[in-house]
Amino acid sequence: MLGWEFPPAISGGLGIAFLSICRALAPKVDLTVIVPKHDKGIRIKGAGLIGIGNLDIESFFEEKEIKGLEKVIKNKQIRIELSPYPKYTSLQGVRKETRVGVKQKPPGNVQQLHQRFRDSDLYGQNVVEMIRYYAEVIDIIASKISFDIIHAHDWMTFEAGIRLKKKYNKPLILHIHSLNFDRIGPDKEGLFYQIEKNAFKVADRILPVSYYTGSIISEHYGVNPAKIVPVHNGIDPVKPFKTKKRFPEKLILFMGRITLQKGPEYFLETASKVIEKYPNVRFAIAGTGDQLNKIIEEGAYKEISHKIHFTGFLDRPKVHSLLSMADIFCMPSVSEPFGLTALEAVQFEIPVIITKRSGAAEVLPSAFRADFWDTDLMSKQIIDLLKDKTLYTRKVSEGKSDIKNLSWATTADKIVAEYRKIIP
Amino acid sequence: MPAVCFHFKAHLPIHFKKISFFELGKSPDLIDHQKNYRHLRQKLENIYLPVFSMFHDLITTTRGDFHFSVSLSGTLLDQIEKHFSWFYRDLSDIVKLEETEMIASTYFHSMAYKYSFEEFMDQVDLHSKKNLAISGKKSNIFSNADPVYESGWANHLHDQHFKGVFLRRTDLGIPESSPGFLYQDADNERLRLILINEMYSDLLEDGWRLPPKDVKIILKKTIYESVRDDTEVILLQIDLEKFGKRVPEIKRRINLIKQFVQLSLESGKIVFLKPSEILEKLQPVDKLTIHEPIYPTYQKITKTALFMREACRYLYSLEDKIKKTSDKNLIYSWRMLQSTDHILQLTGNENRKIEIRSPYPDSSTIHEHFLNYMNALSCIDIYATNTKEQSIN
Repeated sequence: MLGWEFPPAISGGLGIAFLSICRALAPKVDLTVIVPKHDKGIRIKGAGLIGIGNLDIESFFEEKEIKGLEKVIKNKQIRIELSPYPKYTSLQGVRKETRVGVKQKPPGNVQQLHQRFRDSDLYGQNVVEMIRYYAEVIDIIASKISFDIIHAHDWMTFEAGIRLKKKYNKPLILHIHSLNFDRIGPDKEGLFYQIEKNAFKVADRILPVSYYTGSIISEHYGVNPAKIVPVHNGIDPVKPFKTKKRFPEKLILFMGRITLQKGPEYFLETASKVIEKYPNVRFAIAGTGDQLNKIIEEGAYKEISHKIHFTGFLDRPKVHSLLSMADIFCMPSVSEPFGLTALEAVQFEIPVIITKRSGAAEVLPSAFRADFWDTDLMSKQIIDLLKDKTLYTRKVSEGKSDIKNLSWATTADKIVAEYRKIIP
Repeated sequence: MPAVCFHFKAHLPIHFKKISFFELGKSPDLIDHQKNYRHLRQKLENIYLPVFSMFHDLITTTRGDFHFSVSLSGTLLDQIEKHFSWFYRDLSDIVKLEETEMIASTYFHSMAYKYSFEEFMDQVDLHSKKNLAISGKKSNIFSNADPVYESGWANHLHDQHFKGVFLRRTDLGIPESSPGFLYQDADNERLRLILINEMYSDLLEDGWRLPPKDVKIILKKTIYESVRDDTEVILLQIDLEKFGKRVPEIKRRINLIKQFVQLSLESGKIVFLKPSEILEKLQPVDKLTIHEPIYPTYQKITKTALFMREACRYLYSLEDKIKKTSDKNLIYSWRMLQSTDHILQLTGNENRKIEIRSPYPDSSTIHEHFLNYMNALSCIDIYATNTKEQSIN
């Protein structure tokens, strides 16, 4: 199992979903998980966990292997400032990233590049360089273990997956949590799009996290639908709780990266329309990203800044704390492969409003839905929920019913079923 | 003989805590007391103590010929009183002397005049009372934080027993090189106007950069020998916040002022008077009306006037709500948020990656400062709502 984001390096849903899938699969298959780095305290019960950054070069690799890795440094220094998942964790983080990015020097030897897997974040200026090194190291690791299937998650691991498939002639399964199409849109087919498209060609099976994402892979990447088997994400059980807010107003929540993909500007537009008709509300935007400053300015322009609160990036306990205070969850994503946060909101007994272009809509049939651009409808749905207690209670109850059977174990069962189809 | 009127002003920006979303409404206390203490101690050691020691020296060595005025913001006086009561007493001893006069301003170094005239006058009154408490003398002169002045305020200020106002020449289009006189406000002729000489003030503030041997010559040539015969008054405004951070720099500034005073008195061509003495001794030469003052800080505002406008809209929309609570701490916090330390940081250009001096930690961009400021306001807004609800219950 090849992954990229893993605790502590988590910037969004990918890292959480990947860890949950690994944990659910471990009792069902013989699993080895390889990630760029991992928190030393983290274990996956019943599975092997290898963090490349955690390996000691001198003792793990043979001399000829180190020489092979050195060729990567010498021949493949592609420096590119692209970030598929903006890694900003705080307002301060945005600033630091920019400065560090400019000063960062290319690695001079294997030790220096390897060190980056321990120290730095997984995205940013040297992401392609890191992906290639990741593929080279995995090639070496693979020679020391036995395996039957390669299961790679999102484009960062595809080069490694393809390499192993070609070298060891093993089936390759690609798990899709997010596409270049979701993040940037259909018009910008850059490097990441090409990496995804090439990988889809050689893959034996593609497991998107939703039918919605499956349809994008089929339509926009020209992949045969027969290869595509959507597998919905599960959800970890939580014990919901309520926290009394210090303010009397109702709290409407947006939670996710503040990027074009997540539609924060539509949330703001919706907020503006709600405030006009129902002023007894406050809005919280949890997360950070490259659109943050624009959204702050837009809020000031609309003269609603006093009603919009930006929390910055939140850790899990704070996320739960915020969910325990929220009254309505709104996810106006332009394109959302799944949307785990919507399910978390439902777990906390909050009615959710989601866009039609989201995977979550497939598992939350009772949720209010709207087109991401239809802020009139979303604002009406919010006001209806705020005014109509019966409707509110019904939506909470239906939401709970929607997620009753969702679990990572079910997700793992579906994945194992696909493994069996490939290797009977 | 021309009279030089020194006006030393100081306002210490207060450091605030960063209020997270989860802390909104928790407490009206927004101040980072520890950081403020450290900051004030540093300022006290580096600037306030040497400057007040200079006042003492000049009063002693000139045998009472050096008269001057001081304006210390209410928040600065409160901080000194809270953390360094011994210095507060020393300071009080100096401003009680006959040679000194305290100038009134807005207590919180605010720009309330732009948004709420009632609040503006309340703060002027508060500052006058504070000055009276520390100096035992009533403040007769008003100098706004910027210092912006409009003739529309003349009657209100006079009703509060003010006799004179400091204002900038730029508001009147009077060149810096022209002679200085005492004027009277056309809207209320009993209110006198004294114009700040920014050119000479800047020279005294920046002259420390000159080699020591040149200072004497420059001072002679540029100030007291070049003063036109018909000049009656030169108002020099020295901002202690611009005294720098490094001790040698501050020492040289102080030496420069001392030299200037000594050389001027030796020349016998200049006298040093307090503003009230100028009002007593000089007759106004003309009437002036200022209906459209120039706001220097705002001239350069482009898109980010947006943040300042939005922040001030919210700030002053809370006025009635906050005041009705009668919660002293809450009202104090709200008033501190009116300080120019907060508002002026919102006037940069957000497209440029400029470093700003925000009162909040980890807040060096205009967007970060804006968010922290709005959170602080939301915090007291929510606290006020809860206070009101509790009193109803």
